[in-house]
Amino acid sequence: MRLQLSPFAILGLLPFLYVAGVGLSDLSSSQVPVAALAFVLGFFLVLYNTLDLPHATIVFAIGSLFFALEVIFALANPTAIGSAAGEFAWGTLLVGPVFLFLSLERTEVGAGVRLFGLQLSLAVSFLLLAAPAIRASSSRPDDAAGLLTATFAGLGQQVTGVGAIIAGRAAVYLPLRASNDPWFVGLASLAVLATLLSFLRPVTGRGIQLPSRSRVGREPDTDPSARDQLSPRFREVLRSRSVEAGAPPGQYPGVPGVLGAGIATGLFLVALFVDPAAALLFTSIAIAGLFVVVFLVLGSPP
Amino acid sequence: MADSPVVLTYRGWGLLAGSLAALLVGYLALNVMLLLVGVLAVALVGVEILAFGLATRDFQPEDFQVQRSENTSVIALGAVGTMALQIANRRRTGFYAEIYDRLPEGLESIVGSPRLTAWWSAGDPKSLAYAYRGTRRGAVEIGPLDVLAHDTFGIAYRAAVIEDRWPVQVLPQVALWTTEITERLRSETVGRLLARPQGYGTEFRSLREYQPSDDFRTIVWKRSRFEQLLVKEWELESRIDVAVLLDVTRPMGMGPPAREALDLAVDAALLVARYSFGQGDRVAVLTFTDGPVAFLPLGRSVDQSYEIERVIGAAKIEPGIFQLEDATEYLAQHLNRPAVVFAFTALDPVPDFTRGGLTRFRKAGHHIHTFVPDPLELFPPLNDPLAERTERFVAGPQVARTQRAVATVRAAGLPVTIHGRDDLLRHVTGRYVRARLGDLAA
Repeated sequence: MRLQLSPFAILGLLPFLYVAGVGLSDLSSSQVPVAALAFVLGFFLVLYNTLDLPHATIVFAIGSLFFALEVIFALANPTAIGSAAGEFAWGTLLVGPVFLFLSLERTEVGAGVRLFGLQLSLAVSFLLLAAPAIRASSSRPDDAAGLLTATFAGLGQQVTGVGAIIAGRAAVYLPLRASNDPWFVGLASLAVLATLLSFLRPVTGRGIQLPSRSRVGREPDTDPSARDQLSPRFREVLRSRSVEAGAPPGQYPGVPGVLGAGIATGLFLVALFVDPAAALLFTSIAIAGLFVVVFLVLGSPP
Repeated sequence: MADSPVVLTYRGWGLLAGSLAALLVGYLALNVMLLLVGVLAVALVGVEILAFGLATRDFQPEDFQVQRSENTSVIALGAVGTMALQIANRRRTGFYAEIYDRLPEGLESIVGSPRLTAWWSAGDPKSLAYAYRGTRRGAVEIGPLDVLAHDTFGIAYRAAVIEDRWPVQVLPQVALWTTEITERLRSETVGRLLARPQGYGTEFRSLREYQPSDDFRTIVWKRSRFEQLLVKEWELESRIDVAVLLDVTRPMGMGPPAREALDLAVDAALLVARYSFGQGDRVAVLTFTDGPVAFLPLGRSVDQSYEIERVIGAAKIEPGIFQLEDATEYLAQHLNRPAVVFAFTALDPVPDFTRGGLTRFRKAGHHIHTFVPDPLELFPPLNDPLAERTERFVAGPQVARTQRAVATVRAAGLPVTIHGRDDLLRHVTGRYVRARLGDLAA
């Protein structure tokens, strides 16, 4: 297992670090050190596991269990355990999106899982950003434990709200919908773009890179003693016959997919601007239609 | 309509599921940004599949034509062969291709590669060239050729199989690792042949002065003078006719991989055949199950030599039940001269000589010597006593069957040699020397 910290991954990390910064700034200056300590500890625990350092699994399991128990305990007793535990738990919670994002940034993790992981991280980040607003409207004391409680209360409100919409009742407060930090949205857009760009390169289903320019076919690893049976000139002839070639100028493979996705997203934005409720319905029908056509293509008889 | 359907890769299924899950998160959050991410991902994957499916809708094997150059057909075990091919493309649109010339088990690519990934423009030919090494004896085929059309992002592909194959025969390197044995065989044979008594055979040896005991008819009047009469000296026929009989049924598959009883038999059979050809003998070969798999009658031409090596080298396990009597009956019918037969068989099941085939074989003047593998001695020794006892226990029934079979063959008056993994060539050498000296039957 190897950490895949490509420039795309580093770019993808930025919105979550921003959320952590905002989350810490929601605390008073006396509360920041403990929460920051928890965040740093949690961050290095995730890195330790991702880098696969010695006994990473055990260290990560014990560390995660400690953090999880600490958060649950702080959540269950927000006032009884004192402010330090609440601050520590809040700091731990701020690592959540980083944890989700980094733990999936590995070479062996599939593109689909990484995409889903990014989306979950963004959702959690939105929830964390909504916590101060929820805390302000609640009767919890104005400390880190209050933020912690507000986060989970926000999750509950979101679930209740979506349930109400599905049941056809009047819409209630949806923290994830209301949460809107332009800096975060900008950075998150960059992260999404970076993740999508990391997928959008010529590659086979097994991850073998497809050539984007011409080059002589690679020589596989072989037994040198066997290779010695052929003269260097003959070996060169064999190697130079198989030429990997990229698409010629003017032909851009993959453009139809990207262009189609761009148009679809643009249409969705327009529809959202015109009539948000209808936009969702329109999107659902369009996606269902798209998948019917896709599965018709997939299932076309030989 | 395309001959091959669009197939989603694991990555494709993953992206499809991941984008749908992302869209679901967007729906549950009802957050514009999360919804946008979901829509973007789903649209990207869906449109890419759709675009790829439409662009390659007429993708079929007939779009491609393979032309293989004059490539290697026969190589020795461990030696290197080459393959070069050109694939013509009749498609009107370009696509990302993965081309793979299927290498069978027993051949490994060493230089160049049988695989190529490249953008394949419309109408362009592609070349593939590589060298491979034979790692296992036998007749194999390179190909067919797979051409995969990939979409750009590894989401889906279409595959076309182009049925173009190239046969390759990997022969054992008997000549290399049996040089010492062959030399010994030659020296022993030559030494003893020189001691053969001259007589009225069919092979001319030399002219010599007439002796009173000589037949008056042997005088060569054209070369003789009045004061010195010369006679032709003949010697008995020094060439023999050799037939190799290979049992290719399942029991000959016992032994460790690549050193199975059949592999050992093939090595020994090739040694006999090559040496005999070198001496100018006629050689025949029969591979047999419950009927002939391949048979080449007695011959000594260069073509015969090549064909015999090909048949022996390609011997592989075939379904059927081997009966020595059926094989000897077949040889009796198809060998037009008395021959010495070297039979390599597991004698499983126990032979049955009740139908008179063996009698007819003998009446035709043939001699046979049978080489039977010892089921236990085919495997390298185990250092662990418990493992050794277990091996003996497991192989027990097979060993008992072999012993019964050997006893039956010996009772029928046929010489049998039981061999292990290392001594077959030595046994065959000894028997071969005796055969050339004409005392095999004794």
